[in-house]
Amino acid sequence: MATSAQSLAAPRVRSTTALCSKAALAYAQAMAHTPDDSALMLRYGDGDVQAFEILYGRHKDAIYRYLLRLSGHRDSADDIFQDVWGKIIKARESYRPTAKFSTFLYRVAHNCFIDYVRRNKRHSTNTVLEPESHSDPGESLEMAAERCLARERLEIALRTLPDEQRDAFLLHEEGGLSVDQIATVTGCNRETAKSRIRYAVGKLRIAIDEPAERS
Amino acid sequence: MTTESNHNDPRVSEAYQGLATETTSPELDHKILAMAANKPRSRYGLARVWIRPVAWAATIGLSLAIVLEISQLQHETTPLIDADEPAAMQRSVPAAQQASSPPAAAEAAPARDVELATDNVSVSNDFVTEDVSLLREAEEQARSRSGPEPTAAPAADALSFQAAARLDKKEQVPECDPDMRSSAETWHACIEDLRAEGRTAAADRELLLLLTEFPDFEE
Repeated sequence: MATSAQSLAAPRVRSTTALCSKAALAYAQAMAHTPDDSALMLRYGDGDVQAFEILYGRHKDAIYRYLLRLSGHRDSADDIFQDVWGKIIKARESYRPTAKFSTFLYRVAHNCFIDYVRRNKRHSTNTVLEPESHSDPGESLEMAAERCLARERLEIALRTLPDEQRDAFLLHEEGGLSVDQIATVTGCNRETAKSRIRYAVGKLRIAIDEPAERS
Repeated sequence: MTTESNHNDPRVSEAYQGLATETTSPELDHKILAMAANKPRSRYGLARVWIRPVAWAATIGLSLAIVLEISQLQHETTPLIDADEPAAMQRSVPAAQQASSPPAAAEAAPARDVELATDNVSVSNDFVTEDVSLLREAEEQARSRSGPEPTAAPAADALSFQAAARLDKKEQVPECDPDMRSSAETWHACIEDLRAEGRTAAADRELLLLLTEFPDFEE
């Protein structure tokens, strides 16, 4: 009985192992062949809406934060965000992967923001963004207060940065763009882009270290 | 501190990442995704499906047409150039004559006949030489078909008659027959008939031959 049970169980185990290995293999293959952004955009140009959904999922939050930090208003960020993706959707027929997709996307976002500012003269970056409070359950009150203060200082420092420096810093942090790509997006030369990021990072560093220096 | 570390401070990045936690609202996501799904294809987008195959087909079709046209042209021109085939030449000469302007041919023909009649043929053009040899061949063929000629006529007159006959043959229209040409008056009457029929070129040729044969004739 035991042998028969073992003999019955053995193929089941083997088949389970085979299934697991097959699934792992499929997953590994899928990961190895993860389509890049340009390929997704081209697929979307051919009518594959799912490709756009993947692309949108990859970039939506970073683009939104970039626009939110640039504009300083949630409503403005929402408007510009829709405008940006509307242009991306519109460009699906004519899109050619001549550069990295993120460069293309952030260039569109940058231009949309500039257009928005020109259209809405009332726009100002002095509006205070309400920082979202995400307190950890195990965090002490002092630590939470310190973290909140640090965020606030960084937020204020970001707002007080000159527009070009803030733009360059956000492109670097949110978009993960290189200096060359930032230069392409903002339409300046490489050295200018590099110095803008350097100044922005320097100022933000000072803002973060401020209480430590005071103490 | 290196330049790279100047624009890549991990502490600043970390602080910023802690700050940047905002995400898009589900309503906004839904709006964008709906916009992406419902965006109709542009006119160019619809055209893009068939415009490339049509462009390729048109290009290939035009290329084939041009190649065929060129090859047909070559086929048409080669028999005219080939001088070794008399049959081909005989076939091609009427076509060439039809192609050339009739008044020019009519004007050139009497002059050539006069030259043949007087045995003072002076041609510099190879094509004309070939034409003359062809005319002579045609004369010989006509002679063999019509039988013996009157021996009393002088050689020059015979030649002029043959040239006229050859010209008649060329045009495939009978003009003045030998009976009419027997006397200057009947010949002239025939010429007048030709003029009345509107065949002035033929009439002129006949008149030239008449004056060659009867130099003393006056209208």
